This record gives sequence, structure tokens and C-alpha cells, in this order.
Amino acid sequence: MRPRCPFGNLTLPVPTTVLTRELAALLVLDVHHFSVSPDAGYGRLAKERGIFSELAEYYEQVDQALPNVRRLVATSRAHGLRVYFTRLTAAAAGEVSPNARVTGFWARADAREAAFLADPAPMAGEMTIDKTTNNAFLGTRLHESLQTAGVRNLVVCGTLANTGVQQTAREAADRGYGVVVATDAIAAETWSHLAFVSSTLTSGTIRVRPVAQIVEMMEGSRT
Amino acid sequence: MPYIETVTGRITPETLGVTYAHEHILCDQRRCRKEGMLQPGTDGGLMVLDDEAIAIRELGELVSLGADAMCEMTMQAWGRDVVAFKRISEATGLKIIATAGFYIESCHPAFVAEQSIEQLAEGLIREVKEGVDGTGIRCGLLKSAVGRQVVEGPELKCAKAVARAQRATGATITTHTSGSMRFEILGGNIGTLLLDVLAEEGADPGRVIIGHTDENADIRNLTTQCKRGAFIQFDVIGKKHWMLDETRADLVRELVDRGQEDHLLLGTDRNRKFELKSYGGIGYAHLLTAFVPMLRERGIPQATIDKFLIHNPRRALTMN
Repeated sequence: MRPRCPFGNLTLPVPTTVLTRELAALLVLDVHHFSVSPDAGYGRLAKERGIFSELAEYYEQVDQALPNVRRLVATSRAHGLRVYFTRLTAAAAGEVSPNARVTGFWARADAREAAFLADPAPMAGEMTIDKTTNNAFLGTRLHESLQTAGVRNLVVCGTLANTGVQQTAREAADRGYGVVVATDAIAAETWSHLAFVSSTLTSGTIRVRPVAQIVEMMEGSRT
Repeated sequence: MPYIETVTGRITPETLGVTYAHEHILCDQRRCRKEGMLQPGTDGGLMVLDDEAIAIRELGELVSLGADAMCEMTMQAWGRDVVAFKRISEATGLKIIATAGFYIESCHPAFVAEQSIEQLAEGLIREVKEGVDGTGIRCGLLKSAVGRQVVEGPELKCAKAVARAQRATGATITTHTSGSMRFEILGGNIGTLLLDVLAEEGADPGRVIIGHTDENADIRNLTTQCKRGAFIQFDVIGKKHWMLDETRADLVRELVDRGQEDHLLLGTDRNRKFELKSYGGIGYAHLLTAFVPMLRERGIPQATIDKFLIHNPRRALTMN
């Protein structure tokens, strides 16, 4: 059963989001070995506990989302949009956020789990943000970099849909960005989590779209 | 001589009866272009109704509860089967009105990209005047659908074709707005923008049904749409994730108080198996068995309810 969103009925409509090289950037949130390789990070933690099958729905989504993330990255680059990568990483335990110290959801910077996949991966000149918070803006230089570049609108993809993606999208909206969350380039803990996030995120300056439509927005054939 | 076109032939308007204005009997959204992720082992929440025997059972029960007619909204690219609709109509006694037009972009047939607006309009005119795909079964409604927050691209092209077909046939246009876009459109519904497009192309606003107005309703917007002459349709009755039925009933009361009762149509937009009684859902019957009583509880007299279910649909569907 889809959730009701009565408060959405009370507001003005989400304004148009323009995805041009001058005004927009792509955020690839936490798409690296820790979060998307079944033998690392979340998967490793689950296997250590003998409960890997509990994460089956998550990795089903990862398998479907990764090609879409790659498409977003390639299309963004082709159209001159800036691409930012984050990862759940810290140089040492002392730099880890209090929340991540409890969850364990982070990788040491020199570990394989911190590394990006071969694709998608940052290119020279693209900013990489190491963080151990869900919110990609908290304690990072992301906002400063975006403002300096004149970015006003963000396309958001990556993991986890029900924590980092959602939290970053809402923080971005609070900071005045127009946000487009790519509904088929994100992965949540379960399919129910994904459905809830996808159906409840649209409000204020946040909208959701599948990647095919985001590509059309970048190409200018869709408002 | 005025008439209403059903899948079993023309009827006189007086014989239409209690009418569900927006439903699906058989449909298959799996035929449309896939967007988004799909949970393995599921249909991804797609709109699929593919069992004719169950349709006959559900609609037979509906007829026994007092329904007489139903407008079937499925389009050619995702499972419209007018021959099956005729069989179901003959088996149940339910008058079924088939629809010619276009659904949202992802469900457009390939020829939309290939044909001109005029060619698309000619195809619709044939379906209304001569019948669908050589069957001789004619459509009694036209349909225009928008899945974006603005009317543009292929959907704009199709809207113009539908407007032209209306000018040529006199058939009423029923419209769709995608509920997932409801928070991105002023007024919560693309209906007003689409009405502008259709009117600019020559369609009669008094022959346009603005659909799905109960997904994100604003009484101010609804009143304005009525004052432009259009029909408005509460057609997702029973679907709580859009709005509670209690709120719908309150809005109907308010529309009556504002003198707009001659513009309202009702429906349930059944389009998924879990919504049918055979699969544990509330079924088509919910409109008559649960929602109509709510209207009575709010002091709406039977004569006014008859407008929503009988007289307004009759006026909307009658052609000359």
C-alpha cells in the first residue's frame, strides 16, 4: 500500500529544475566497494553474522541501479555537468562521526573497501568527498564547492536511498538547491524502503525521476 | 438522433443508466516502455487485469448492485480489446463504452512518432465512426493523457490530435494526469493546462472531462474548471494513498454547495488485480456500496447523486 502524503497537497508545486552545465551537477553518493560489493562493507558485515540473505533485496537493487548510475555519470560528463563523488571513508578511526562509530558503516581510506569501482569512478578534476555522515553536506566542502561553481540544481543518485540519499536531498533543498533524485539509480535496504522513499520525497524543491527522464532533461527534450 | 456508442452498438441516451465514468476491465501495462527498477518476482505494481472470467464475475456482481454502464479507459498500446469488451458486455449486461486516444508517453504505440497530428486524428476518427481495427466496434469517448508536469513533446502532439478528432466526431474527451506528478503541477492536476491546449486546438471545453481530480484536489481549482464548462471527475475513489474517501465526500458536498453538481462524474479506476474482490480488494462495487452512502451521510439527496451517476454521464457521452 502506497503511503499517503497529505502535506504535499498543501504546498505550491515543485518548481522547474534546469539541468544545464552552468546550473547543475551530479552527486554520486557512496557508490564504492564498501556499499556495493557483496563481499565488502555491508555484505561483509552480514556474512560475519551469517545473515547475508537479509541483504538480498538491497543487492538486487544495486545490480539494477549501477548501470543507471553509470549512465548518469556518462551523460553528465557528456553535457559538461560537474560530477561529485562521496564515499563512506575516513583516514583513521578518530575522524569517524559518532553515528558511524556505532553503525560501523565506514571504511578506512587505505582499505580496498574504500576504493571506487572501475566504473563509476572519479576522473581527474572531479571532487571526491570522504565522509562518515549520511548527510553529504555535513562537515564537508561540498556546499562551498557547488556555490563557487555556480551550481543551483543537483541530480542525486547512489546509496543508501533511505538514509544518505534522502538526507542529502533534503539538506540540499534546505540549502536552496533544486534536487532531482534518480529513482532507478539508488538502492535502499529493502524494496519497501525504496518504494517509500520514492513516493514520499517529492516536495519543496525535490522531485524524483527515472534516469531515462533525467537524461532527457539534460538533453533539453523534457522540462 | 442522439445516441451513445457502446461496444454492442448504439443506445439511446435515456437507457444509459448508472455509469462508472473511468475504469479498466482488461489492461496490460507490461506492454509499455519500462521505466524504473523492478523487484524480481513481482509485476512492479504495473496495471495488469488479464482474466476475462474474473472480469465477468466482478462486473456481473456490479450489475446486480445497480450499475448499468462503464467507460473503459484502456488504450490500444496497453491492452485495449474491444472484442473482449463486447463479450463481457454480452455476458454481464453491463453497457461498456470503449475509448479512442492515447495514454502517457511510455505507453504510446510506435506510430505516434511516425505520424503527423492529422494522421493521428484520422485514426481516432475512424475508431469513433467506423470501429476499431476492422471489428466494427466503435468507440464512444476520446482520451488525452499527460504524464509530465507540463504538456509537451509527444503528449502535446497527441492532445492536438485528440482535439481535432473531437471537432470531427463530437465525442467527449476524457483526460488523464499522472498522480505521481501531482505535487509538481499548480492546482495538483494537469487538467487546466490540458484544457487550455485542447481548447486552443478547437475542442469544446464543455465536452472535456478532467480526470483524476481527486488525487490532489483543491476546491478552488475544481470550481474554476467547472466554471469553464468542463466535467470534473472523482475517479480514484477508494484509493487512499491519493486521498481519503471522507475527504472526497466532503469535496463533493462543497461542490454541490457551490452549485457545480452538474459537472461531476464518478469512478474508481480499478486497474490492478489486488483492487478486485476476487483478489481480496474492495472491487468496483466500492463506489456504490461505500462511497455513495458517504454522500448521503453528508445530506446529498438521491436526485443529486443521480446527476453524478446518471445524468452527467449521459450528457457527457451523448453524440449526435
